[in-house]
This record gives sequence, structure tokens and C-alpha cells, in this order.
Amino acid sequence: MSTIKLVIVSGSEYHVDASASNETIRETLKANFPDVGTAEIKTGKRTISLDGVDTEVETVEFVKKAGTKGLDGTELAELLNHIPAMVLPHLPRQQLTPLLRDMLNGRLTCQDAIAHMDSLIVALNAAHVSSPTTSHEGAALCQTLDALPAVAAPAPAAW
Amino acid sequence: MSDARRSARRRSARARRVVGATQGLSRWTDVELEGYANGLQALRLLRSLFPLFYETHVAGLFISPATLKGVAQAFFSLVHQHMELAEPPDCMPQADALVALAVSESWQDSLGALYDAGVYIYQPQILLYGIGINDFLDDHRQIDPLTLAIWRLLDGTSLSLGMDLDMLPASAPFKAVGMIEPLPPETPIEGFFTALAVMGPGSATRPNYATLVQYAIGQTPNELANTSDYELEAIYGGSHDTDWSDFWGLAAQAAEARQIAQAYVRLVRWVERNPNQRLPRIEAILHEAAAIALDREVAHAA
Repeated sequence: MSTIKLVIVSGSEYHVDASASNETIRETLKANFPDVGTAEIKTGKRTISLDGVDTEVETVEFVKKAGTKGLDGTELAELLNHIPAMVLPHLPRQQLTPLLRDMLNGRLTCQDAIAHMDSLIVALNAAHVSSPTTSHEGAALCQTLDALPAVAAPAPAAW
Repeated sequence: MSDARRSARRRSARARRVVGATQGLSRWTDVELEGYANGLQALRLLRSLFPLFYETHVAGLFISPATLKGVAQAFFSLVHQHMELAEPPDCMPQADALVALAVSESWQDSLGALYDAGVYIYQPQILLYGIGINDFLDDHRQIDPLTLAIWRLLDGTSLSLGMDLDMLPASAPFKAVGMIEPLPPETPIEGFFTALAVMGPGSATRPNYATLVQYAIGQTPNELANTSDYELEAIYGGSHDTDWSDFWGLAAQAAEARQIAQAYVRLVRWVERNPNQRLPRIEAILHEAAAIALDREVAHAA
């Protein structure tokens, strides 16, 4: 058996010392391949040419997980039933339609939202557009600056 | 969309959330409003694609950022039971989802997660199953001997990929590839695949030889089996040309593409265990199909 292992990760192949453990290889690769941290390890054998000699080597392939398995129907129902109540801030400085205000205040059910979906989306888009409070922010900043005591500018050291 | 682009998008979203937070609680920020809009879109999709689940578990819930995030999580979980996504969005429920929600999170974080998940909510980001011909060419990814053998067999025909096969590896398994005789250039392709289809082990759940050869050159009838994520990014600009309205069709297509890719990988593994013996068997099958196609064409002409 060869003194090297063939490591396969993200389509690239590397030779490492055969004595290196798979977990040590994983730790080393994680710096450049973050997905390796959760990847599945598949081992096998392959014959490759080493210095012109056909040699059978052990292969260690890190296979990225395609996606996290979703929860099933029962778990999902449980998840939805256990969503904690949320206290939202009262944000009076924005122009909101009554429907949107109801939704933001938690007074709309999903069924209500489905019934008024188009109006809600229009109202949300309008809130995007009507949200430029730059002048208010500017005014607030100026108020703060106005409160600062006036100090004479230092004279230049020399003319 | 590549991992790098998604990460950049997330970083940008997080930065915007920080900016939003520093503005104080004087108004809803664009990120939060868009988070709401994304959550509503997830709600609309969940009702449209999974009406029974919606009626039973969702319709009566009062809307809050946490509820909308839960709805989006439920939507992605239900999707995932039918179709794999290329990369799960941030708000996809993980094993500890219940715990995470139980300890609660801020409303800004819930809306931020919905904002980040926007690209997934508006367009299905399906896992692609293509062999990735351009991955091999551009990234010099290690090619397997079966794929190389098929490319060599088709090299002179109208299905040739037009690449310089002499540039490919000269190591052990590939010596057997070098011995392979390409198919006659005049092989009628349609007849070739027709002959091949009935020679293989195909069944309702197993792709036949014709499909497997088509997979090796990215020309199956199933688009999800023809393209890799890299090719989507490099050739098609990273855009999935899909829509949630096609969901059930896409799910069936994805299941078939996965089946083709898995069958091909099994064949690759089988060849790799003894390429010197098994590549000539593949070669013989493809030559036999080509001979049948040529004979039929001659008979038809006569």
C-alpha cells in the first residue's frame, strides 16, 4: 500500500501522508474549504501513477451536503404553535396605511393577510418609498449641534 | 448564484441591518419592510403549493416577524420534502429550530433572516445534477475514466465535444481509455440512441444506457441533469430560469435528474474498480449500438 492518501475536495485532489487521520485532514482543509466542516467523508481506493509506477492509494473524498433535511409536517406544526409572542416598537414617524399598521401591530391573521395581500404589498412598497426621513435626521443632528457651546476657532500659527 | 455571491449578499444585508439599528427606532428600515414583504410572499406560496397545511396550521396565526419567519421555515421544509435546494437559505429550519425559536430572537433578526432569504423565496434555487463538463475543462477537475471513455467514443461523431483529449491524464485508469476505438464518424445519432436505449438496463426507475451516455455529454432531455452549478454561474450568468408556479413539474424533473446522476455515479464506480476489463465492455456496447444504427440507415436507404 502507498505511503500517501489521495484527498478529494471540491473537485481538487491533493496527496497527503497516509498516516494523517481523516479528521486531521478535515481540520486542515477547513481554513480554505469551510464546507468541509460538515461534509461527509467517503473513502475508497484508486490506482494512480506515482513517479511512473501504477500505485493503489486510499482516497478520502469530502462530499458537501446538498441541503439540510427539512422538518416533517408534525414538527412544522409544533414549530408554528410555539412561536413566541413578539413586542414590536411603536414607530410613529412613518406614514402607514391602516391595513399595514394593523399587520405591524400584530392584529392581522395570515388569513387576513392572504385576503388583502396585494394591498399589503403596495403599502409596504409605498412605505419603502415614503421612508426618506433624511431631512428629519438632519434636523435632529442640527439640533444636537446647535446645543453645543460656541468656541472661537484657533488662530493660525503664522500668516 | 455562487456561494461567494450569496455570502456577499448576506454580508451586505447584515451591514444594512446594523445601519438600520444605529438609526434608532424612529422608523421601519428598508431591510425590515422587505423582510415583511418576503415573509408575505412565503405565506402566499405556502398557501398556493401546500393548501392543506396552510388551512390546518397557518391560516389562523397572527402575523409578527417571528410568525412570518416560521411560515417561511415551514415553506422551505415542505419544499425540501419534494425537491433539494442548492443551498438552504438562512431561515431554513435546522435540527435545533424549535429550540432557537423557543428562546426567541429579536424582531429585527427575524426580519433580517427573511430579508436574507429573499432570493430563495422569489425563485427556487434548485440543486443541479449535471456532470459539469466545463467544471472539468475550466477547473481541471479530476475526470473519471468512464466519462473520458464516452467522450473519446463520441469524438469523431456529430456529438463530439470538440476538445483535445490528448491533454487529459495519462495515469493508470486512463491508459485503458487510450485503447478505445472511437465510433464511426457517420454514426446516425438518433438511431444510435434508439438502439442504445433498448440495450441497457432501463426501467421506470432506472435510466437506460442512452440516457447515461447523454448525461456524460450534458444532453439528456432533462435540463437539471445537463448543467452543473458552476456552469449555471459561468455560462448562464448564475440565473435559474425557474418559477415556483412550475414547482410540481420541477420537483418531478429534479427527482429524475437525481436518479440519472446517481445511476451514472454507480456506473463510474463499477468501471473504476476494474477499468481495464470494464471499459472495453462499455466500448463494445456503444459500438454495437452504432452498428445497429448504421445497418438500419443502410436498410432504410435501400
